[in-house]
Amino acid sequence: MRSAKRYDALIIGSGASGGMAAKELTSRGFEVLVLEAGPPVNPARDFSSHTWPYQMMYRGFGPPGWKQQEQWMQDTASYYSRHFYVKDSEHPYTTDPGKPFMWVRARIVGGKTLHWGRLSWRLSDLDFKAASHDGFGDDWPISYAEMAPYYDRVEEFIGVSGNNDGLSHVPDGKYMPAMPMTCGENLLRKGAEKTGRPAISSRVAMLTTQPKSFMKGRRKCHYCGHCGDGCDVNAMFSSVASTLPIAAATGRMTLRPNSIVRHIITDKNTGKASGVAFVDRVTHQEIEAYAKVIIVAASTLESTRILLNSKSSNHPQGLGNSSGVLGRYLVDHFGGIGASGFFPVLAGRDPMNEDGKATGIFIPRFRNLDAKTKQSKFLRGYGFECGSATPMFPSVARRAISGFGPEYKKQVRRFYTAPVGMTVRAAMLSRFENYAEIDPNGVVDAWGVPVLKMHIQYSDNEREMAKDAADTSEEILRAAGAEVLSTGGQLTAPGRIIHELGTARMGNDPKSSILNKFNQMHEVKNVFVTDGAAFVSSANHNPTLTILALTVRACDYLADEYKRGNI
Amino acid sequence: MFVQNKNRTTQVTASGSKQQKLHTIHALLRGRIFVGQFQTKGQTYDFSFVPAEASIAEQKFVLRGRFTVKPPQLSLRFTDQVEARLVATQGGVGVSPVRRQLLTGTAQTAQTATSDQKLEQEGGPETELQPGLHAFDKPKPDSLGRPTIESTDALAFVAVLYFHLSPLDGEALGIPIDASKVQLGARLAPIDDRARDLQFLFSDLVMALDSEHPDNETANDCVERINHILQE
Repeated sequence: MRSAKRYDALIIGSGASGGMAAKELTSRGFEVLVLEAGPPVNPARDFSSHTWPYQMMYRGFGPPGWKQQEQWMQDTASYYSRHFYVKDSEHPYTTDPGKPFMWVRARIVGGKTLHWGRLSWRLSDLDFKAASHDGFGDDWPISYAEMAPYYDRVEEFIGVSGNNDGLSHVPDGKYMPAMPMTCGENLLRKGAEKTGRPAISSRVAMLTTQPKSFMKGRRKCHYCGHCGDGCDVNAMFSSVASTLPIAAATGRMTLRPNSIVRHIITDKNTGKASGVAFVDRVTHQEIEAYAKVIIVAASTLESTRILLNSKSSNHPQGLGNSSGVLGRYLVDHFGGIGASGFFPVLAGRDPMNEDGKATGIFIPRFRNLDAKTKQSKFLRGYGFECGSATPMFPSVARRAISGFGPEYKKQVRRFYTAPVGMTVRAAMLSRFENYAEIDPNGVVDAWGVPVLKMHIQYSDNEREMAKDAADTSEEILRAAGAEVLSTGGQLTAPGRIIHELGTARMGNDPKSSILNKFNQMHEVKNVFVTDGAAFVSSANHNPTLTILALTVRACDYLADEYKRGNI
Repeated sequence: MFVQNKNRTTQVTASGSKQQKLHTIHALLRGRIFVGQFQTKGQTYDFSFVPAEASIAEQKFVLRGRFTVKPPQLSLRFTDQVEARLVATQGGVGVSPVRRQLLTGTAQTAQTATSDQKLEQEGGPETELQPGLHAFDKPKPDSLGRPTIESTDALAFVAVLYFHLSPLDGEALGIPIDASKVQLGARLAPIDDRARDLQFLFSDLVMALDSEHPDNETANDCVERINHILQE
């Protein structure tokens, strides 16, 4: 049976990129169908940002052992937000022995924007042109100058708080006022500066002033501090708070939740995409939908999975993959390395309501910026996410204080106002040998869709960088006057930072890339991939702001080409 | 806040009327039994797979045993000699399970966690809700003094085993859809010693069988020990 309607554009995914594409294209008059693999979200039922521990079974920790029953539950989800994530029992993936990958996925309307970290950094030409800088890998086919206007547009639309700090490798932008630093963060900032490294307020996609007129339904942040459980006042940017309502208001968007895309359908004669085949998550009904343009924005690895599963006589290795590059150059950032302790000068002070500030401070990259900071043992660099605040739950009590009874309580009260910590966010080199493929042994998900097998490992470059970061974090903490309790750590397993990127990268050469500089497939001109799959390299910054800017830019190009009849 | 306009219906149509298939079922290892549930046609089915024998065939690990289903409102139904052939695995990330050094000859000298340490690590360095409260392990350097990588090398373990089951007779088992090609995803999240021992053996077996340099001697040793547990 054939579809009764052919949409102008079909968007796979309703997260950061999918939502933005829906907003951009509907505002230009496109009739759009958005397919979301997960269920609809109901904020009144699904958000629990204002739920207290005592309102939850097991005080919000969940029943014993619940986290071990699903991979994603082990470390990412809290009991409050567990329903935002997929169960990997329904959504398997496979790995090689001894080379794990943690794939955290959120199949729900809004995707990971419901609980994302909100850190919003621009990449600079140190990142876009990294290969020219140090000789490794490939440059992006775009420059900061080309991206800057789109960063401007996105920041003004989503609302980003931060300061213009005048650091060329962390370009300034269009910001609402930054969230003020806590006492501890100011101490840490001074300590970092003593070692020659600036520390700046984190730039986060949260409203710190009254919303602008187009931000309907959004409120200024009231510092409740539970952003990851769903922000019910929409102070933080999410698709359901920002882009999807605007797209829906045009009357030109149809959103279909519970729609798991199997593959993209191509026309045998033209080789172009004509629609998608999908299965209803609940009823298991097999369905097809048709459109003139397909936007793939299902998240980095899901998008690549769909493309790899879209084999046809014209595209025997997957859609637009005659180069064999699809799935290649998979990267994540790594964390897990750093230092923590407490400030003796802050111990015993009166507690303050600091835990609602939903971000900390950032020590931007300071290695391999120029000849003076060039390192002999590793390329690229890392930054530190840092924080110091008085939390509702005194974690320091179980970390650093032993004993029991009144003396123990006294120690807890004394030190829980003084913790400080810093943890690395580091670049991983994009390497051909790190990749995702369709599992060669026929593993499928609950709907019979072939799953991915991941092949990814860190190189010596990441390990050397980690060693440097461990030493440097302790140096900074001590310079700030902190008593250091723990240092070092382990590099997080790939995937854990949830910044998986690459696998359908941009480039000027169709032999070594999947997309052109406008996120358009080299080989299938009416398919655009607008999420993190397009990244050429990872930099060491959170990727969502760049994903959003790339999406807006791609939609501008798409709309122009569409008008000209080139798509 | 976005609310879907219910008046806008999706202009798409069903592409065919394929018979619905049971693609995957998911189980947890409890003792030596894989237990789980699946749902189809709005009904929940309890099931178990009790392996009685392990072997290696064509370089693949195989379990053979009884598959039991409890259809709603019906009595238990089972079939014997069901073969579960291991086709893929998912490596675990997070706290490594405690090893009981069951395999003196092949056990890895892993740094493992006690239950208290597990609690401590569950809120590990990347998971705290509040900044500044991270706890870092003491450095665990490699031979070059560099930090190690989570859940790799000696700390690697298998979290999920993906088996292909031999064709099941859905009608006989009271399953109303096609069960001729079912994949069993078996998560190893042990809460008892027998399951824990099996997880270590499965982990060692997978490492021995599927790594870049297969070690058949260790794999056979693991199978022997698995059989010992299955037949206890």
